[in-house]
This record gives sequence, structure tokens and C-alpha cells, in this order.
Amino acid sequence: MDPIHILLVEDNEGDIVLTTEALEEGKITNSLSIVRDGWQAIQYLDQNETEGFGNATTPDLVLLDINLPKINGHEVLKHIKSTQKLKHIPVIMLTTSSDEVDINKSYKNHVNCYITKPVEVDNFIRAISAIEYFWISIVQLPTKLN
Amino acid sequence: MKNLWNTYKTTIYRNCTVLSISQNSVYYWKNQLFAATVTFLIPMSIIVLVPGIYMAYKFSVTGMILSDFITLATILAVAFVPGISVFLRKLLFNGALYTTSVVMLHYLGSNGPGLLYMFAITIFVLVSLDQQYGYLTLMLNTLICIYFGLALYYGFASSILLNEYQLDSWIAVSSNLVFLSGIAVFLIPKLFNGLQSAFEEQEQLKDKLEDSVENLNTKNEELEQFAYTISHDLKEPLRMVRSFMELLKKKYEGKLDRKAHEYIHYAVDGAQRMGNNIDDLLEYSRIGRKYTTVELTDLNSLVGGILKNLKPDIEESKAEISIGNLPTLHVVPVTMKIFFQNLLANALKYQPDGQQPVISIEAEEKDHCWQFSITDNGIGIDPTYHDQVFAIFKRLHTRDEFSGSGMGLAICKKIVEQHLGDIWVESNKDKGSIFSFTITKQYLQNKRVSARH
Repeated sequence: MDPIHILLVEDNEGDIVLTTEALEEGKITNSLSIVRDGWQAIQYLDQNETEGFGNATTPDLVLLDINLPKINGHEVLKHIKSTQKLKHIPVIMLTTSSDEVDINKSYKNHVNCYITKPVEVDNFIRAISAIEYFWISIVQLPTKLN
Repeated sequence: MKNLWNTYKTTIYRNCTVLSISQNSVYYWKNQLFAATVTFLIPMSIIVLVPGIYMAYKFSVTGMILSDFITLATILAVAFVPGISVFLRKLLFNGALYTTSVVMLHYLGSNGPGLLYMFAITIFVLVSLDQQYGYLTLMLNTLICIYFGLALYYGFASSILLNEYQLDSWIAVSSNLVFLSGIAVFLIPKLFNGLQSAFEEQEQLKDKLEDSVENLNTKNEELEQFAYTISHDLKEPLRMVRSFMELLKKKYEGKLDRKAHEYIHYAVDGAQRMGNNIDDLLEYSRIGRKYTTVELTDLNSLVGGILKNLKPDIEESKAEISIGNLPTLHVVPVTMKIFFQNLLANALKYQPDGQQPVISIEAEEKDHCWQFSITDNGIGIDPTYHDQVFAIFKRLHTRDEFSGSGMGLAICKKIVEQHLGDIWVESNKDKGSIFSFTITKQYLQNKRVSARH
């Protein structure tokens, strides 16, 4: 099985550490790329050469925060779901917000699932492991196009 | 008959008023008064025509019969002929009345209703046109009186009756008419000026009110944004504190001593409580601002749903809960749920160790409100603190005794106030508590209308 490529869009260093550690605990082979704001996320996904993302590979899964610098998660999600060569990528909102406005807006923009970051670290790790287990081991993802 | 009258009336109002003028203008009411005058004058003048014609016939004055019919025809034209401006209708109407009064004065002298008609014209003009036209009638009235005075003096009046009158008595009667017309010309416009300033004031108040409402809405949105920012931006770093403390504990389990674990425990506990406080504060700020949708709610099933939520606590303490027959009312169900949840959770929580909680909920209809009471057999509250328990973040016990943010009853108070009611407690230490609250019918009636949205 090819390693699964996950793109984590997250500005909070603490959450990056937590997510990375939780994914490592899951012990499923995967490669993780990290971008720290919404604008970079779009450059990465569009493989913009001038921004140094010429060699970026299209991820198999996107973990997306909402509260991001420059361009927020909702805009990034809209970009992904309205771009022909990106719209097949499953996107998971992983955010602090439990506001129904954010939740409804995300699903209207075709998010694949929405997860509020659990406050307790054990639950956080469990949530990340569950994402990993479900989206990597259980789910059949679409064929790689590139 | 009623239909006929309505058709008649609407036709006159259509012809004699201008629809585009706002109700908050004196001109609107002047047109309304003019239309009303025309509406009622037509049947009256038809009735008055009978004795008029009889008198004219008796004294064989054909001129008067002719003028009567011409006046009536003009008034009918003013009322029913379309395509004439309202201003012109007013002039025609009063002109016709002037003709009648002059003819009457000519034939009947001060014996007839001519002078009365002239006074009436002044009034009609003042209520339907501007003040300067009032002055015009005052001038016309004076001139007509002088003309008839001169006619008497020089003896060229052809009236049968006029000659029977003395000049001095004519001067006495007619000067009274001029005097009364003068008073009317000064007084009636004052009434309309008062009306105009009342309208202007009303308009200003309306503008002010609209401004305030707009202002309030902006403030509400700002507050909502602020509340959202608080919840998000404060909880984010808090989550970091907590997560990494827990991670520290988890990953360095064997390397830390008892003291270090204790410190971590306090840090995590503090972060957790601060998180709860932020959530409660957010909830508190949203009552009456974000949670406002009113629905007809069966409080029996609302409370039933809450008992299901509290099932683990109820089963653990073997609590005995009895619920009276609760009404179905227009309330904000989102906040009412929070309300009953908080009060019931308190009744279950504040109990002496090992005691079986006995709780009852009753509702009673009063004159102006519905009154509810929640009675428990718990630890009770010292009367010294009865007012304070509803304040935000107010706690009466250490966290070791009973946990909680101290926001529960503050939230309840705000919810009751949202329903225009009141909440109070009757209790003594160790004697259980009765929390009573009201929902006013005024609130329920107002909301019955707005709930349809």
C-alpha cells in the first residue's frame, strides 16, 4: 500500500505537535505535510512553483483548521471543493469551534466531516487516531490522479 | 343601504383627498375634513332644500329657487365629477356657498340663514385650506356686510324683507358675524399648528426610536462577535495549557514525583474550570440576545426530556421526582430547557450525603402570570444569602463540597427576566428549598403574535 499523504493546515504549533504525535501513535504508514495558513494551503494544493510548491503532491486527505491567518478554513474548503482536480480530496475540519454556524457552513461547502478538537489530550489523541483509522484503513479513497 | 352609503363615501373621499400625502401631515387631515364636510353636507342640503323652496315659493322669489339648485348642483359636481384638483374643488365648494349666502341675504336679510352660512364658510375654509384663505373669507364677509349696510342706507336693496330692517340693527348683527369670523380665523389655525408640531415631534421620536433600534442591533452583533472571540480565542490557549499538562503527565509518568503530579493536577483543574466559566459566561450573554425564538411549548415534555438527560444522576441517588400538570405556553424553549435543567440539577446536587432526593415541580395559574415552584429536601440556603445566590459566579460552598461555576442560578434569573417574570427562593439551612418563578401573561400574549414569524 502506498503511504497515505495527509496535508495538515494548522497555525497553532501546539496543535501541530499534538496532531503529529497522535498520528505517530497510530503507526499507520503515512506522510504528513504541514502548512500554517490558508493562503499557503491554497498555493500548496495548486502546486504553485513560484511559491516553492512546484514539487508538492496532491494529498489524499486534508485536515483543515477554520481559524487561520490570511485566508480562513472556510475559504480554503471552498477552493478545494470548487477546483476540478482537488474536489475529490476528502477534507476534515479539525477546529476549536463548536459553533453551529461554522458546522453548518462547512457541510454546505461539502466538507467530508467536521470534528471539534476535544479539550482533553487523551480524547484529542483518540479523535486523531479515529480519523487515521477510519480514513486510512477503513475508507476506500479515490484513485490517485497524478 | 349600507353598501350604497359606503360607495357614496368612498367616491367622495377618492375625489376630495390626495392619497399620496402621509397621515402625519396637516394637509392629509385638512383633506379628510373637507371630504367629511362634503359627505355630510349633501344629504343635509337636500333636506334643507325643502323648507327653502317652500319659503321661496310662498314669497314667490324664483331667484332663490334657482340659486338653491345651482349651489346643490355645484356641490354635487365637487363631490362626483372626476379629474378636478382637490384645491379647485375646495374653491368651488366655498364659492357655491358664498353665492347661496349672498342670495339669501339679498332676499331674506338677517332673517334668513345668510350670515350663518358666511360664518360656516369661514370655518370650512379654515379646516380645509391654509390660514390666508381664512383671512380672505374674513375680508369677504366684512365687504358683504358693508355692501348690505350701504344697500340699506341708500335703499337700493330689492329684498322684500330687507327693507323691514333698520340700519343700526343690521350693523349690530353683521358686526357680530365679522367678530366671530375673526376669532375663528385666529383660533382654528392654532389648533392645526399644534397638530403639526405634534406630528413633527412624533416623526422625530420615530426617527430616534429607529436609530436606537439600529444602534442596539449593531451593539448586539458586536457583542455576539465579542462573545464568539472570547470563547474561541480564550479557549484555544487554555486548551494548549491543559493538553500539554496532560501530555506531560502521560509521557513522563515514571519520571515525575508525587508533588509534580499534584502541581499538574492543579494546573489542569484550573484550566478546566476556566473553560467551564467561559462557556457559562458565553451562555449567559446569549440569553435574550441570540436565543430568542419563541415556540408553543408543552412544558411537560420539555421537563420530561430534561429528566432523561439527568437519568444517570437520578438513578444513582434514587431520587423521587414528581411533576404536576404543567401548561403548554409560548416560551423560548432553548432557554427554558437550560432553566429547568439548572434548577433540577441543583436540586439533585445540593443534598446531604446519602439522602434520597425528593423533588416536586408544580404550576399554578394566577391573575397576571403562571407561577411555578420546584421544591426539594436538600441542604437549603441560609436566608442571608437568598438574594446573592442569583448573582454571577456566586458560590456558597467550597469546590470540595460541591463543584460548579456559580453561574447556574444567574443564568436562570436572566432566563426568567427574558420571560418578563421573577424568581425567588424560600429556604432555611437544612430545611430544603422552594424555588418559585413566574412567566407573565403579558409576555405570553405579546409573544403569541410574534411567535408566528
